[in-house]
Amino acid sequence: MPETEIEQLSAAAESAVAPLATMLAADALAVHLFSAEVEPAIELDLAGAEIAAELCCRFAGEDDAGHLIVARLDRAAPEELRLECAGLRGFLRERLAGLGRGDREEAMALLEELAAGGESQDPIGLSASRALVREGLREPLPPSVVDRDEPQGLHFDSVLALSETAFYVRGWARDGQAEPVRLTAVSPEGSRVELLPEIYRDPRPDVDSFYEEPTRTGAAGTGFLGFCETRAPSLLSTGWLLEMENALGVTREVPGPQVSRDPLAARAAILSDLHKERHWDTPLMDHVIPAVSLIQQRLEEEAKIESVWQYGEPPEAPAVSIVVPLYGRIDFLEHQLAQFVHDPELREADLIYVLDSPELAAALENAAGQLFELYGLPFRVVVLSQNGGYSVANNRGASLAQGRLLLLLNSDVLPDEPGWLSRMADFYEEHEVGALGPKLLFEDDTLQHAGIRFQRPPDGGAWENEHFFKGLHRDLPAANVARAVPAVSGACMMIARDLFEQVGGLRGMFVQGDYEDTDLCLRLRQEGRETWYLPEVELYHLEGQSYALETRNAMSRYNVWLHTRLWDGEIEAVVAAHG
Amino acid sequence: MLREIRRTLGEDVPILYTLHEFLPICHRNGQLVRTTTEKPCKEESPRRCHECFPEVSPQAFFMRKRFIQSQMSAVDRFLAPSNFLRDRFVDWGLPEDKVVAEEYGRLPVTAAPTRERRQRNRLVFIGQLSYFKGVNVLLKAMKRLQDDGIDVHLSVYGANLELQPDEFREEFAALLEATKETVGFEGEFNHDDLPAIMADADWVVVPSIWWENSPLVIQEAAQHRRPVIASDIGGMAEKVHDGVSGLHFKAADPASLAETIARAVSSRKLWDELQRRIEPPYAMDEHVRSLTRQYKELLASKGSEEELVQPPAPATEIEDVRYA
Repeated sequence: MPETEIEQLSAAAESAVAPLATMLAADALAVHLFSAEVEPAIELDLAGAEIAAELCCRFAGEDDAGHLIVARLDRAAPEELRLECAGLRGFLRERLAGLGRGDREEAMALLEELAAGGESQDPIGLSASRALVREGLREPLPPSVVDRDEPQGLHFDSVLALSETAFYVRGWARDGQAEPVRLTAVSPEGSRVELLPEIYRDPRPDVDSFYEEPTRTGAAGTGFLGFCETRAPSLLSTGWLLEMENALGVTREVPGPQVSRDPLAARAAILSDLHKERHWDTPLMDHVIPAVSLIQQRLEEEAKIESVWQYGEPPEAPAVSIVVPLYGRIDFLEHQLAQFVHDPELREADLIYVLDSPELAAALENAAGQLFELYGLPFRVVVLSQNGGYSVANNRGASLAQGRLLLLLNSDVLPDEPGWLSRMADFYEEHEVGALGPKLLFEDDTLQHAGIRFQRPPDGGAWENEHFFKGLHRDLPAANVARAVPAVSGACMMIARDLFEQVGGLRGMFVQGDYEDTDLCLRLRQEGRETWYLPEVELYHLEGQSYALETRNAMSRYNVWLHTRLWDGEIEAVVAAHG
Repeated sequence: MLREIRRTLGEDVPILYTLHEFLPICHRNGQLVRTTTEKPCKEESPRRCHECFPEVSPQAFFMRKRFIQSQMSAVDRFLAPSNFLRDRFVDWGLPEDKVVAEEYGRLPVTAAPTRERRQRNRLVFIGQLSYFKGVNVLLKAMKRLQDDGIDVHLSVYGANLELQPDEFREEFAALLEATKETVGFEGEFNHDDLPAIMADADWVVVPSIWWENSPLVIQEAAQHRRPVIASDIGGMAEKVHDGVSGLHFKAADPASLAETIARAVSSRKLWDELQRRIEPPYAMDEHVRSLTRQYKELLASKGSEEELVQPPAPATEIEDVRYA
């Protein structure tokens, strides 16, 4: 056997047996050395590549004494190096299959550590290799058989991928012999996640009745669901396992389902789990919040500004930037322009429409040009690359704003008369408030919004946003007083741009346009800035035309519970101050 | 569309807009008849419109109205052929000072000769054969009169039956069959035949179940000096004065119409009195003078120096008169 690059890896001259190496990924290498040395000193000369990270473990068996070294290269392995390597299956068979169980588990742990240790250029290759190693080295447990006469029953219902390392899992586990003490989800790549005790247990009357048992509830529930994280990325869609062990040491395993990766479907599924609970303080929220937040964060990151179209000459030094998200209904653009055109002040405003329905970009481009021709009012259109939701659309639009003041405006809000914008801006400048909201009306001239207060049911349920005087006549004297209020609606809200930026804009953790506004007002309050209501400005808010009602219900429950978990203490203080 | 016209013409050119119908106000093709009760409606609102069209939200109706009003604000003056129509648009929200009642002008015609017969018992219906024009109300009244043995005859002239819903056509056909002794269905007619049609009639019946704005047939009846029996609502009630130039009956009520017809045909004296008091319709020359004057007024109010170069020539011929 001629001397190879690989053989040069070993500087341990006394090691009589040649090492064998295999590629785990384009830039990851595993080397097995037969060596009794505690720390084999190795020098690596890898045809020009450098080692970026290196991990090692020692197998202590008498005959099998040796070391497994896994390393990440700083680039894809040069061809000379790859040619010297054995195939992964052969490597496993020759070098690792004979190891004891503990050593094999250690070998898998080493791989996981490598995978978790940093970005690989070839994450899929590494995942595939890890899956092969897992299947080659693991000790399968007895399979679970779902049968009334079998004490152990186990099922892995779903795995929703939230990121490369975060998952939302559902299933059930029962044991008629002894309490389960271990439930482990194993990723295809071999990452092991212990689900007990944090996982949320929910009743599964369907399963319990199959086993002819009364329904188990609370922490003893047969079902489980929740958020979990793997140490290393898991990219493969098949190959998850669920293992169970009971107090007597009896073990079972069952294969998992195909991983679902659609973030919107995952969000809808996770939110629907909230129907299992009635109180905002439920431990279920400890699973739903991190899961939904990750999806929201991902959607937010993916919703980048794709293009900006300018129609007409932008006003010089505008005082106010108006940011209007367009979602679903692009016809609202013309409805607003047809009203704004009667108000000379709107010509001086920096009018920014943010399209949060990218699939409508072509239609909007077509319409916007014609509408500018027709109405002659300058405006910009910002197109997002993905649907990002209400807060993202506003934040993206605000990031382009020129005015000192921002006006966040819904597309289904129409002014009653000209002059409203300067009245708001003047009041804001004069009083330097935090957020300022006008009077909003329903289409029948009753009050939709005259400021927002917080109210909770007597049982200590979640805080809900109540609109002052909702449904009463627009001329109600009590609603015609400018005053500080706990919060105002984001349907039409003025705020200084630097203040908005200072507090980080609207938070994307809420789902689809609900509670972001009060969340912002509460954060402003923490900064010592008051929220004010200004009745001299009246606009119509023709709400509720964009979303289907059922979707809103599931989202609302999440938003209202999240809002209370974030702000329970602060709201108590606000209520004490405002009543 | 109006905004596009304004953009094309510039701010200095006056725009006059003749309101012919109620489409801007009412989503039901401008009929102003409720889908829920089939009663005429004067009180549009997002909520009431939504009751008529549950699939359209009140918010959408509000936006529709604001949008149309925004477009209509490009117009300097609206001309309404009846006070009734003017009032509807002012109630709806057009500025009162912008809407002026201005009847359609008529070219002079020679009145058709009155019939030699002693009894004034021949009626004519001229108009679209549609539900809203109330022709079936009239046929139901005729059925009553026929059953009561009253000596009266009706000729029905009208088109577009084939465009009507099956339900209406079936009822129309059944009523025609039931009244075949007293009603003649003449179908479509040529406008040139109008004098002959009038010559054969004593009374013109306008039984619409909707408001109407200013029915041309009422003006034509006046030109030929025929008293009109009309529904007691809207543009019809305005243009036909009950007991002066014609007779009213309770709209959509066949019994009231039958009673009114019976009264009309019973006395030749009544017919003579009504006929004597028919006022000649608004003349085309006068109409054109009024339009020209109004246009000049608007030009002056816009401060435009330009004189109207060419006053619009009075029309000499009306080629296409439709009974809307």
